Amino acid sequence: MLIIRRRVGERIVIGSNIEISVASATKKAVRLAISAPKGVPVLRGEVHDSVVAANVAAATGLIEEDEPPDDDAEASVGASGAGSR
Amino acid sequence: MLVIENTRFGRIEVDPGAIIHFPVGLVGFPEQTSFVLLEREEGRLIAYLQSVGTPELAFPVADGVMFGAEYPQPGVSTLAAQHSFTGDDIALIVVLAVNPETKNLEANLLAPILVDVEARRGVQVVLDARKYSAAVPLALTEKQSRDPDPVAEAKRRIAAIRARTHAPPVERRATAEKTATPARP
Repeated sequence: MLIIRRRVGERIVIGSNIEISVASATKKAVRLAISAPKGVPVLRGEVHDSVVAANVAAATGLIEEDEPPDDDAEASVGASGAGSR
Repeated sequence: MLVIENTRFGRIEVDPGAIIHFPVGLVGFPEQTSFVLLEREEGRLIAYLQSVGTPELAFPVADGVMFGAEYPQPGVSTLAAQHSFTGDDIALIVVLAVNPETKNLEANLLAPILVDVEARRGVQVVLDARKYSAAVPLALTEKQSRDPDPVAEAKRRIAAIRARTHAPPVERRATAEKTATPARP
């Protein structure tokens, strides 16, 4: 991992089109100004992690659907995730 | 026809024109860029966003309308503009998951999926984390909704989105015998 010392107002450029500058800093927190192309998602780490966790849970969980049809159909839903967690 | 051997649906054939492209994947799944929307059969609340490249990967989804008229904020047209989705037919679907502890169905209202139906492009957008959670118990959100019959409307819409992306309804009979594990006691 690269660690760089920056002062307020100084910038870091990632690739040719992502730029991060330090807007302000106190002992406890820094404010960063980030510019990135439209297609590049910029997220707070903990928000990103909660979305990843929700996506992983969605992909692995067992879903029992709301309205089982009259016959034996419910057996096929979500079989892949059964018992994995 | 493209054939997907799927753990949930068995073998399904998909028109390549039904594929929805996600240029940056889903959050946490950056390499998953091609999906199709499948319903187990017509008229279900829950559809599946099935990965084309990874047969075992499918995300249960429901139409965003079931979470009420106030959802999402900002609205779909604003989100579409932010992501340069220019089509007239923009769908918003919400990823569902089962909470492993409570077994409740939870909706990821923080990060819904926006689909430009005509262009067949999709993106998972992340909304304001102060307003929305990634794991909202479903029963609660249904009660909160003021739409007179959000569930019926959500079913109608998810079927309509699938129909418009030309993905086939899945023949449940073809798969149930082979892959079945009893889902309920």
